[in-house]
Amino acid sequence: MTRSPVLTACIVFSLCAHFLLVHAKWTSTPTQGGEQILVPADFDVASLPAGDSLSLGQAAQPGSNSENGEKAQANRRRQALRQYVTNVRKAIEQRKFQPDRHGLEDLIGKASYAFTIGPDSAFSNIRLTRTSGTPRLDRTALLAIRAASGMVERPKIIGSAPLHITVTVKYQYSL
Amino acid sequence: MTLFQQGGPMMWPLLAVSVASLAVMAERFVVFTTTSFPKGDTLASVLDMARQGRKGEALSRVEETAPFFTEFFSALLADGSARQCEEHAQLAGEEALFGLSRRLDFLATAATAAPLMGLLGTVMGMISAFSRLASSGNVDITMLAGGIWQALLTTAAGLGIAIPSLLAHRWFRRQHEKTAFAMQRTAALLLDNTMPGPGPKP
Repeated sequence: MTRSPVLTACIVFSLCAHFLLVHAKWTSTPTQGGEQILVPADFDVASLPAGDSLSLGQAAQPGSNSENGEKAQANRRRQALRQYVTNVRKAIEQRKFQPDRHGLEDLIGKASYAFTIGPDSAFSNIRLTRTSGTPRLDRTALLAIRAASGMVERPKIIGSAPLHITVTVKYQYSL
Repeated sequence: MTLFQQGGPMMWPLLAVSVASLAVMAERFVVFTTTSFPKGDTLASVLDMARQGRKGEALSRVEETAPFFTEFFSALLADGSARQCEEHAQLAGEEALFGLSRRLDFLATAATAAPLMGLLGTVMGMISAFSRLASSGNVDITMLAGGIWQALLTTAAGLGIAIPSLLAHRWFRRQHEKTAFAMQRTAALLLDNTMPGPGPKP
């Protein structure tokens, strides 16, 4: 085989390899383990109204859901997810003082916890990601998260995949 | 939609460079693995035959084992003065080495240019993503993230081309240097042992 046929064969080989490479479906598939949702749960911020998009607090454009079916479905799912996360946040907020408010009014600080919400809406794998520096506050926040476990029912539209969420519980002058 | 389509228009020139690079790498690999310079026992037997004056047999042996270097050995074993043989061998050797280094410059260029092309694609993608974001007036973090990861695809593609090209280029260059050294050494041995009288050493 002389040089020229070798080069031609190599070009053909390269074209075939690239054809396969380009047509391979390398699209990212959602992980079976669920989604990572980071909730900057500063409880001083008012929760967003229902139906709000994930557009960092800005109002959704009317009619944007009607662009196409898939996009609209994804948008509805995101809205439901956001609303669910907001409700979870509220549930924790409402149970922030456990077992009761008495003696916990002097707590000041923020503790961040990460946990997983299972298909049954129960929280699991609760772990401290950022301590407040006060063990009593960290413990109280943990009790609040445990108390809120399973209190908010997961909407069906978001599926049953585990959700990994980080929340920050803030205490300030018994608020 | 495949990753290639998501990468944007810059993926097309990157694809062209990638096809050419892989073809050159494969072709050079074939060339370097099939045209190795005679060494070990083969070279020793050729040297022995040449020393004993059996130049025809020595050339036949070279033709059998390393036909690519036949001209080089023919020049070395030709009748004539040591200087003439050396000059002819030098020309034949340079021609052989030039043949070996053919298209290696393309590999070096591809290894340098591909990341830059990828970077250009990324910058273009970022400009597009941010301009879409600015014109929509709706700061959607998912839209921004989507634009960024798609823009980064061209950089990944550029690096994916550059890294194998660079490694292959280095390996081919090393093989080229080894062949040049072996040719030089063989020429010196043959001229010293087969030529009558003192001859200039290469």
